[in-house]
Amino acid sequence: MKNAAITGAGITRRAAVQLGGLAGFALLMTSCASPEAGPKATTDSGKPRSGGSVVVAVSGDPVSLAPFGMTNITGAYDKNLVYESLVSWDEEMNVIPGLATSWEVPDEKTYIFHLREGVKFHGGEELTAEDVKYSFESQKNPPPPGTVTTFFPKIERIEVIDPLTVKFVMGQADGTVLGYCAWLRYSYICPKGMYDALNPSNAANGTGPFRVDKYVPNDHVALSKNPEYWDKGLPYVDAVTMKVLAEVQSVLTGLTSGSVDIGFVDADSAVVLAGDPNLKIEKTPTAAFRELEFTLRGKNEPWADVRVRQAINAAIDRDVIIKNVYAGEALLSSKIPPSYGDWGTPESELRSKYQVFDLDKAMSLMKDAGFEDGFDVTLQSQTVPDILQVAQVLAEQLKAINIRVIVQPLEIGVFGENNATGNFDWQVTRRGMRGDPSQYLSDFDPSTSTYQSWFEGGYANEELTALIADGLAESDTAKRHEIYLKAQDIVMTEWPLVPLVAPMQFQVTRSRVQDMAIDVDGTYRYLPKAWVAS
Amino acid sequence: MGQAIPTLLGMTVLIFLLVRLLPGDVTSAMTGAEGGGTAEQNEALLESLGLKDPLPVQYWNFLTGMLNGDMGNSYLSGLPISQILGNAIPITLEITILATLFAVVVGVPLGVLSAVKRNTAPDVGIRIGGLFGLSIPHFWFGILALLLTSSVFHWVPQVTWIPIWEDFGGNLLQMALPSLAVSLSLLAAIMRMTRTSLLEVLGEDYVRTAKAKGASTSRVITRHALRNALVPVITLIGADIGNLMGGAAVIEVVFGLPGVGNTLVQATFLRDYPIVQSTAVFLALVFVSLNLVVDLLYKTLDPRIEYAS
Repeated sequence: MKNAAITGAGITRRAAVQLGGLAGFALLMTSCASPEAGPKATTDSGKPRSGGSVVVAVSGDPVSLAPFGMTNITGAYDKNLVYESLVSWDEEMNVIPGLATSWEVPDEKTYIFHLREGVKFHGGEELTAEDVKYSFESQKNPPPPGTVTTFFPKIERIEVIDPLTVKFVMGQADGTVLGYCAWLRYSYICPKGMYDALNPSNAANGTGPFRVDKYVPNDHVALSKNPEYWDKGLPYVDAVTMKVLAEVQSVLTGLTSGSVDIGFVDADSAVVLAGDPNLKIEKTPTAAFRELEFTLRGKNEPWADVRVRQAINAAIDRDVIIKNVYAGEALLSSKIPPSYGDWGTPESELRSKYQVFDLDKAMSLMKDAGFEDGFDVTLQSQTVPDILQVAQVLAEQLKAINIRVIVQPLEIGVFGENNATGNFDWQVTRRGMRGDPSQYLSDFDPSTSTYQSWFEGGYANEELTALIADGLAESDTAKRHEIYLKAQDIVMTEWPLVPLVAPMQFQVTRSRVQDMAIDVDGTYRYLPKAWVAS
Repeated sequence: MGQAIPTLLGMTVLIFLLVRLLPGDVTSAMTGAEGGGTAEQNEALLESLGLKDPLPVQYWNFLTGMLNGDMGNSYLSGLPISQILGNAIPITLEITILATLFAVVVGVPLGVLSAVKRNTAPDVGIRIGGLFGLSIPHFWFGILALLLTSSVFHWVPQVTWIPIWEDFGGNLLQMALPSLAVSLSLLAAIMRMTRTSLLEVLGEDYVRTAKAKGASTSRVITRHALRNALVPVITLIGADIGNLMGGAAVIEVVFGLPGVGNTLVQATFLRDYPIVQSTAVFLALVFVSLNLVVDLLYKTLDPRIEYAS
């Protein structure tokens, strides 16, 4: 007997099974569709309500939950919700009370903080000045696996005045203390002796609005509401899943399908999501402006001549970078990025005076410097797509003044090592958030490791060094403002580094989540005030 | 078996040395321009992690630890490697097994159909499909599948991993898309190998004899031809399963699954040597074991195959 399945005569058994399988798959997918399937606008604003849970997409694993000396922003996503510091920022980056209710600065070398009474750590201990002392001493010299950072203020010693009062005695005048604390990332406060009580790399004990329930590396951190949180009523949501989704398309599909409630996306993805009525998109310039960096180590580099660096700046058309790499969603940036309000050089001045694209001027400068025929140089870049694209645009643009740029994409570990040790000619990278605007100029402070790696022996400007010191010592905001504008003027005249652009960052939120303010730092510090609509 | 052990030992040496050839170490992975540690501080950190010990001492500690079941802890998260791998292995194993099963269950019949219907429209269609399967990068397919399901069905797999022992149906639903993406190239390769191999076997004398004796086509294929035709297919599966496990790394990143590949990639970026070493050795162990199994399977499929003593 002929087997119809083999010969294919008529509708075979196999064909019927295949059709049935396809129909079943379609039925299954439809039944699995999110309850919010289909375009449906939900607008429920009004009074915040407690309860519910949210899923937040984060771009990378925290790597370690240790509060001291970990520089990766991926750790800050979780730790900013679990730990707190003496002060914080509101949505306008104004310093507001945190674990300290008030503070005094009786002289330029003394800070006195008055702690909030009755605050408890997740483990039940009550916050005292001893915990603050322990925490800041650990920030200064982080236990392993942490590493010392360049941002710790010039605190010489910490004194406990009474259980709720702590004094910082500064080694020198330093106006960055409040900004350092408000930034959170390096100034977390934990109970005294915490490193002996638990493994801080994978467990946490803070005062923050959320507690760590579970940490699954490369997958997620599960947070739950801290019922003893000092700010009564907050947080509104009961649980947060900080899910690692390194691929932006995964974030995009998660947001559209409803499996992710909050996430940051790039400009191209924001355009795709713009028409979705279930999503809200907010944007702000990132503090992580893109920058072209040189090493100037007195090795007769062609760019050691200031005219060459000025030519490089004049040959860069930043509007092309803004348009082609960031879809128009980026701003010009000074050494202090535009996200810092009016601390950075105004955009109008950048456009009219400092960052003017002028090829004729560039060629003339190269000729005056004796480099009319240009030179070859290697430009190291991270493999992050937009940074690599910026490198490629720079390479293309600098051809016009005969600089032959070889773009060298590097894996992040190698790139970071080279960046730290100054083992590069040129690099293009993104800078990051700072607690105080002055810290963007710490690159030129001879006492920092960055200066020693990048500029020692090759670049020094006494006026700039003096301005950095003056700015730290100055307590009057208006005067600090003047000092840093002057410092930026020097940097953008001599161009030891070339700030490029500050891309916009886009926070996308499902409409069920209300009042989720966007954080300039790109973390989720305002999540405690977000709530889930019914 | 006699070759497997020296192979594995050699792999441990290679893995140990290769990861240390990478520029930088765990301290540089943590710092970049924002780190301000002095050279002394960084050295102290490396010392505390045992990274200043002589290489033979480090290797000995690594090897004896593996043999004793103590793979150490992550430099950064401090979690035991056994716990990290314990979370990761089920995910990658499941993707690999599901992908292989799907590739075999679909690929072999398609290969048979293509061979039997040689040079007809179904054969051409299947072979073109096979070319697509081999050509399409599986990570791109994975992204495309995610975009399709999210925009058409407003559904994507659940973002946090569901263990199969907690929710069987939910787990299968979550793993379906990643497994499908990983399976494509193996499915195409199995289909093509089955077709080629079967065509060759169908030309053998004993097959012609069976047909002449009145056996139906299906009986000829299933009872006489397919067993012999599958020998090279088994070899292919054994060789490719290791690739599947490695290739699953990209899919794990796309779908946000903390499998072995994803874990290995992240640990490599961060120079977290204990994780890199243990994970790489695990993958090597799987590869060697699978090839051993494949070699043993030959005998089952074809009793004429003898091994040199």
